[in-house]
Amino acid sequence: MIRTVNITKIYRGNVVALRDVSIDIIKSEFVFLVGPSGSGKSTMMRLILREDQPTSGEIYVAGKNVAQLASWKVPALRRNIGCVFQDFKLLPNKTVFENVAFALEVIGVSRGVIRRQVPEVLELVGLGDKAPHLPDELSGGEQQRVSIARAFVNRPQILIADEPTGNLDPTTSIEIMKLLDLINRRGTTVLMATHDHAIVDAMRRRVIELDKGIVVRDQERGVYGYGAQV
Amino acid sequence: MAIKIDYALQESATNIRRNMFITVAAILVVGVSLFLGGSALLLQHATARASDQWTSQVEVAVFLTNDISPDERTQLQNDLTAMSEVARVTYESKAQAYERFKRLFANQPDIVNNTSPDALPESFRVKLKDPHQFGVIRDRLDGRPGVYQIRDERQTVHELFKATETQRKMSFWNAIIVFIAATILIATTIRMAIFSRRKEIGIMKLVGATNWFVRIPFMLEGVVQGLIGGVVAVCILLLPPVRSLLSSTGPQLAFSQSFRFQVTYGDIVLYGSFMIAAGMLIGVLGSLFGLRRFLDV
Ligand SMILES: Nc1ncnc2c1ncn2[C@@H]1O[C@H](COP(=O)(O)OP(=O)(O)O)[C@@H](O)[C@H]1O
Ligand SMILES: [Mg+2]
Repeated sequence: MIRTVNITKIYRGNVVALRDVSIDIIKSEFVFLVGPSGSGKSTMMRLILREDQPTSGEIYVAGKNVAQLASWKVPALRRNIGCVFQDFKLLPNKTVFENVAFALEVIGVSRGVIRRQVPEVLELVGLGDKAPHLPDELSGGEQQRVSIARAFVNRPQILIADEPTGNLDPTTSIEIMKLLDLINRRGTTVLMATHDHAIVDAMRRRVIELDKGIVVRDQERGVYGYGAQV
Repeated sequence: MAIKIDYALQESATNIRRNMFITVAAILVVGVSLFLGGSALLLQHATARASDQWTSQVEVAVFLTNDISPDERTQLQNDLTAMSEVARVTYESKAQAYERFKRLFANQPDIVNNTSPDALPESFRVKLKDPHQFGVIRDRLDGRPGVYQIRDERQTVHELFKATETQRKMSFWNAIIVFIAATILIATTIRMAIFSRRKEIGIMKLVGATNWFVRIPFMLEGVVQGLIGGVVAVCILLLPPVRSLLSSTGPQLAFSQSFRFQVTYGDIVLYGSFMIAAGMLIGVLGSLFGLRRFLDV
């Protein structure tokens, strides 16, 4: 579902964010991308979303070579990838319903479908009763659930989450993880960047660890640190 | 590409409301710019038309001496009419000449009062089949008793228009500069609108909105601004004092009251639609410039 072949990303000023990274994530997998701050996790996400292009190497998402993709085909790619961020990226002047509906509106989905799908997905994330509220009337965890609803509302094949629990307390984080797990069990491939040890250790899923842009570990049913391995 | 018209319209309306102040400023500047540029071109058009019209209408004037006898006069008229180059001959008496003179200088009574009804010569107004034949007529009539002076009035028209030619050329370049300035201004308002909504745009692009879907509301906004600017320009142009002011800046022919330089409503309709079209073009160009680089995925 997501496959990279020797990708290297060098930013201006000779900052090497990723070096020779080759990973292969198959359909319906749940994968943690771990590593200290600055190790290249977000860069990886940005390359998958084609927000940026690798300096060299190839990236295949759902069979398409993203690095070579014509720019007019990028929107179609992104419709297949839901994304969730640490800072939620909700529109403050739109209600919960409108925030989720927005993701459908801008890809030209009809009103009828929006009226059906949005309440459904809000129900799924447990916010059925919050539809008319504005984001700042919600807790951080609830806001993140809105953003997950938005990422998932058009049933993408892939969900990318860049430190989705980074701003949340441990209890709320667990709620979010349960939700991502639920989404994964419905068949969506999930790639989540994090440096939250507790979560990674608790979930026991595949772990890919980056350090200074290099893959130093790729382990089925892993935990966060090397310490746990020995 | 699934772009919903009502969505696009609603978005541009929201944008315009949010940036009301700068939007109104842009519309006014575009309006005034289009008015200045457009009216310069309008004047040029009216002048060119007047030049054609006047040149084709003015005649050769054969002024008669005071002591011409009625026989000589009749003979001269018959000879003129008989000439193959001549299309038409009309006679203008001293009294008619004075009437015309009075009308011409109606707002300068001093000049009229100081001129006796007798002072203006009688004349034949000769219309030639081919205006270039003036030389032939002059050679034939020169020195003939009773003929005081032969004048090609077309020449006078030409000189008059030559005097305003550089002015008109300048006004064309003025219009170009004004057009560019207005475009830059619209681009600026679009930039601001984009800036104030960059978060929304970022999300739109992340969830897979096409570039055109993001662009079109902004372009529509630019076009609407340009369109309203054009309408403002036409409204200014339609103000009666503005129209007469414009008419008064054109070349004026002192010797003929039938050639009043006029900016007609026809001209205004023609150039008004041109200004509105130019306003929309400015809107499209401005928003394209404003959007440039900003929305590359
Ligand atoms: N747009 C950018 N321009 C230049 N350097 C960048 C840019 N984005 C990230 N970097 C650098 O690339 C490296 C990896 O960053 P990032 O992918 O954000 O890591 P992480 O998400 O793991 O913290 C860091 O050294 C960071 O400073
Ligand atoms: Mg990061």
